[in-house]
Amino acid sequence: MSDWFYLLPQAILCAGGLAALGLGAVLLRPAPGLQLGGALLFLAAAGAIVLALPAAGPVLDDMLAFDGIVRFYQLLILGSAGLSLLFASRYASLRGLAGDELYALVLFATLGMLLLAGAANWVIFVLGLELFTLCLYVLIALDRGRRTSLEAALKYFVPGAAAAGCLIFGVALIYAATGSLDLASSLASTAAGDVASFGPGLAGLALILLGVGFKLALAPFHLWAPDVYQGAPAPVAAFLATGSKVAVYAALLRLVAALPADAWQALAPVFWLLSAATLLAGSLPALTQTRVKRLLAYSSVAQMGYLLLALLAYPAAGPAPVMFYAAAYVLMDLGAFGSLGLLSPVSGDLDALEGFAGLGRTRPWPAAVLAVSLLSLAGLPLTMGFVGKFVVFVAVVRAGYPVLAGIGILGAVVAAGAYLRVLGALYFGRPVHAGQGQPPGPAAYVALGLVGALIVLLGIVPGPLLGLLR
Amino acid sequence: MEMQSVDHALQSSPWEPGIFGLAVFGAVVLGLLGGLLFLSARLTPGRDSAVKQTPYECGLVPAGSARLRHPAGFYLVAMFFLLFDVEAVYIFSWAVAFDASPASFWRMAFFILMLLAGLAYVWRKGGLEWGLGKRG
Amino acid sequence: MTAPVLTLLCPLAGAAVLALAGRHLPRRVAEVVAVAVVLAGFVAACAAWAGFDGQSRILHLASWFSVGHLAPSFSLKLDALSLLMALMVSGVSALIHFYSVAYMRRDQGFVRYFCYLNLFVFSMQTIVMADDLVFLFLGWEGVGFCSFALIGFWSEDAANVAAGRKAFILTRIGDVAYLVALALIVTSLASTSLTELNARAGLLAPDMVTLLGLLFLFAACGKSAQLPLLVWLPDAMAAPTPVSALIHAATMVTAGVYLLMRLAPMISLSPAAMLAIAAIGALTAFFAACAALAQHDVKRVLAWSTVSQVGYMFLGLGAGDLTGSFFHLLVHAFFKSLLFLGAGCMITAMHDDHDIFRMGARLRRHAPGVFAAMVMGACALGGVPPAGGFFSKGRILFAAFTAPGLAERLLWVLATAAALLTVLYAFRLVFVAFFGQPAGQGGPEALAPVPKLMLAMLWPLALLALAGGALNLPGEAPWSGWLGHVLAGVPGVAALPEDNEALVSALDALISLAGLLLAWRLWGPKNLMDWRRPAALAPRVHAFFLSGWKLDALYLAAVARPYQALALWLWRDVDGRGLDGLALGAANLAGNASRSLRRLATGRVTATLVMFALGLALILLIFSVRAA
Repeated sequence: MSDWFYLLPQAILCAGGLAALGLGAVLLRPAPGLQLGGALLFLAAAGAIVLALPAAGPVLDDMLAFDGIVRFYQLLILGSAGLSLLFASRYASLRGLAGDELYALVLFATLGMLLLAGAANWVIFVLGLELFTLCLYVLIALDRGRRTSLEAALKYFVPGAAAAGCLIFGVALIYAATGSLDLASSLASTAAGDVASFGPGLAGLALILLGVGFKLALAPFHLWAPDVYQGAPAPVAAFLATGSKVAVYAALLRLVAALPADAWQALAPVFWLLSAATLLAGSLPALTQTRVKRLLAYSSVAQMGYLLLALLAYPAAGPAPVMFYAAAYVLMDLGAFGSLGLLSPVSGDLDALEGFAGLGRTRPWPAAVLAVSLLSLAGLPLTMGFVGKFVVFVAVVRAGYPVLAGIGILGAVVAAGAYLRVLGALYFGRPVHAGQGQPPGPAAYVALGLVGALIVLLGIVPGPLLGLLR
Repeated sequence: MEMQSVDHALQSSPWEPGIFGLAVFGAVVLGLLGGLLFLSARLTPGRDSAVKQTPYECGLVPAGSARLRHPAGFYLVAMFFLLFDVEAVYIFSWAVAFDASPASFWRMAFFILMLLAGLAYVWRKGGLEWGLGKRG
Repeated sequence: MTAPVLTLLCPLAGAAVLALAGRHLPRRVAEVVAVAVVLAGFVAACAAWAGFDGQSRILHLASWFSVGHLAPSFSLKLDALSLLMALMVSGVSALIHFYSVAYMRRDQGFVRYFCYLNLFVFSMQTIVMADDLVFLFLGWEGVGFCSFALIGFWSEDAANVAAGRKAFILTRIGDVAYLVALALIVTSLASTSLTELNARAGLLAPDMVTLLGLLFLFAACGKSAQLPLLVWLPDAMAAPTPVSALIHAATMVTAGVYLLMRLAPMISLSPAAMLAIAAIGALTAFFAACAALAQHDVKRVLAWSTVSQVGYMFLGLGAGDLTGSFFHLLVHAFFKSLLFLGAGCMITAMHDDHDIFRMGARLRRHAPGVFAAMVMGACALGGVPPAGGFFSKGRILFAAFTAPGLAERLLWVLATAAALLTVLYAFRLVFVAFFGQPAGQGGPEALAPVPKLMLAMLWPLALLALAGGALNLPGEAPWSGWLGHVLAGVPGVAALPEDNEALVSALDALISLAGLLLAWRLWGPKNLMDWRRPAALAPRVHAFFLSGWKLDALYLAAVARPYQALALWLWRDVDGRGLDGLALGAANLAGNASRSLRRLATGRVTATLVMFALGLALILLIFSVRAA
């Protein structure tokens, strides 16, 4: 089989994005159903090809990797994009945001994420990262008539540009140190022992970590997250919070796998510190936060900390914990932001805690999925979040970081208090008459059902998925 | 030649660079900076007055906010012009390195075709409408 | 092999439908759904039994999770024992569901009722068929929860809720032993499969086997209401009568003894545990028979009789006769559900009055069908030949008689004495409730009609109760010993010696007939004494038995009060002053940390960029330190 087949999913997404734009240019106002159906079709086609392609080493002149891990992450990204679109389509049409650019940009962003998840070369790495970041800048500002949306886009754009500059500088330093742009071999030769390549290589790595840390909202690079998540339209926040993070983790996983031992020796304490800081900086502020979207933003920061924990345990415990937790995270955050969007009135996304009062009775289904997602984020048993945290903690303790596991558990306990307040408002609050959202529509019901059922099902019977990942 | 002489000078110096030297240097720099900032903060009277806080100290009392909305009808067109103009950089650099091979020709043809598609999209979407008229 | 799975899942599907959509369904549709799923489960169980080829097998449905050695799975063990049990449970439950439609015809909470009822059947089928002990525990707890919800079903009355809570707490005390046993098994055998456990029990230390046996016995005592955990069952009469029938006959009380049957190959390795089972069974049988003799409430008589009869099952199992024990379990399920459903009819006719002394001969004339059914049920309960109970109880007594030790012989004497008491209280119930003159005040003036559907459900059960003995007739004829043949392949089943069987059977028959006559003399319409004389003769003994040997009071004084005092101290002093202070302090600390960290997020882009610089400096610092 020709190597070019491995570009087929990306090519399909590119064609899909162009088709969405073309449709918009020809019909000017295409029916939302047509756009959603078409976009889902392209995503499904890409997914089918990702499933069908045999695993291989680096292909296309060592530009792209395609092994089981990449396949898993790419499917996760495609699923996240599809579910986000299901959540977004009626949300956007009700608010007059459902232009062709929404669908095209989501498809292009997904293309960038696929590239990043499969990057075996620094150029592809930067290309994928920048492609989806550019699309996300615009998606965040989708509701351009609203100040908060624009403000969020700006607050994502300015640090994003700075971080991108640092990242590219880091890549340049690594290239200067090793003379190679290949991800694996450049990292391998940073450890050759000679100071000339080790020092600049590590400096480059530090700059890359900054860029990546910004994208993942790792503390202390996370301060943009609350504002951006709060300002972005909820389904866009769902996509921003899930797809982009997972793609970056896929790349980080390959990066860690390629690191030689002595570079890992230098990197492990950094990861240790970053994950501890991220866990605390995500969990603690959530506790007294009364704005639910900001709370979810902090929670997403904390979840990044758990993923980083799992990554830290990767050399000892293998990729299964990172992958399982990534899947759990995608479902939980999609469920939380997606159902928040469905519960929101057209006049503006629900944010203040009081707005959620009594929604468990007046809007039982979206509220139930929100509740399940929150319970899962809190890590309560019978949800996927519990199994994920459990697997991660076991791996972390086995890898010899009991203190980190302790911090993680502490963070989980503290954050659980924050989620419980939202749950309390949902089910025990007195319903307010203002702020009734619109009926979600069939597409969103499909997404709600899928997310809710998967969180519970994989929380009760995680065995098959865990077995698959091992 | 100069590099060599610097190297030579370093090698012949009995003093070797180390973490101690860096620390001393850092301490001196920080101390100097801190001292200057401290002194300037302590020694200046630092009295604020309404007049000092007004923008454009040109004798006139400002009226209204500085944040005005200006109608910029040409704004989008100007943006698009810039976008398309920047692409010329690629075309020039391609032209300099053009080796007259068909492959190279078709590559640039594809590139320009893409730009044209973008232009068509912008046009169709009403991005080139001048002024504040209705836009799709 | 889909039939056993359907047996399991049909009731679950019904419960799910009723829970999710029940409120929006018309009453008739909800009832049809509830009955149809259980009926479908019964049909599937029939199909599973018909397709059973005598080969025991394990059906692995799905893995659950895996932590270290602990890897429970959803797996079913299908052998003659479990399939027959599933058949009985689904069949009896189906009849009870039909009956419930009529019994609950005026109740507004029917959706909740049928939802729990379906869930109850599902939980029990899980216990019946599960091969994995963790999966089994799911059903075990499910049964406990459903009984809690159904006993306290009429929750307007605080006493009902208290009864439900009592049942839940007492069975939970037993569950602790189950969990401890499970932990021991996981650590020592690294497997939670019943089959594995039975197969590899020989590798365990003998003391370990005894310990496991005693722990499981304690757990079974909770569910099966045996000494010392039996006090919840008489109070469980607060439930609607069909629920009582379900708890006593099919879904809950037999769960404990059934668990011990599943574990028989392991437990039989420990003579001490076997003796303990037999002793608890015989003692409980006698204990509860005494208590049943003094009750006034028709359902309480039946409740104590269940405790007593399950005691016989324990005795049979402890004497090494699994076949006899299971035989009695099946026959008991038939006659006890018959008796309870008949009692439901009596109560309906009496406008919800439970006292047998206020019923009397008019009830016989009003509802002759109910009278006939109750007589048949009493014959089966009392072991009057040739009703089912005669053969099954006789077999257990014979097993106890032939068991080798002296202790077993003593237990046999105790159980035989209890058999006499059984006939007495069974026919006391019949004679007082259907022949006596209504005594006391407050009985209804006119009796209410009994719905036809309720009556109709009595006959199949009456037939099964009377003819139940045909399942395992003694002797050498080709039709005798069917159950024994069927169960022959089940691990833990042993054959009994044949000698002296006729002698013991004759003794049993004699006892039951003598008891019948004595009851007629004591409580019959032409009695020589006043019918209340036995109670009046020894009022203190009567009161003692009426209160169930004062066991409730004993537990209250010896366990509940000290526990309450301890809890009060822990709550007020340890928790209130000590731990709450700590927790509040920790919460304040977290809250303060939270507020100060939130202050970092000023919303200014410059703050983000400054943190970039700081973070980068930190990373570079660590790198330089580690690389140096």
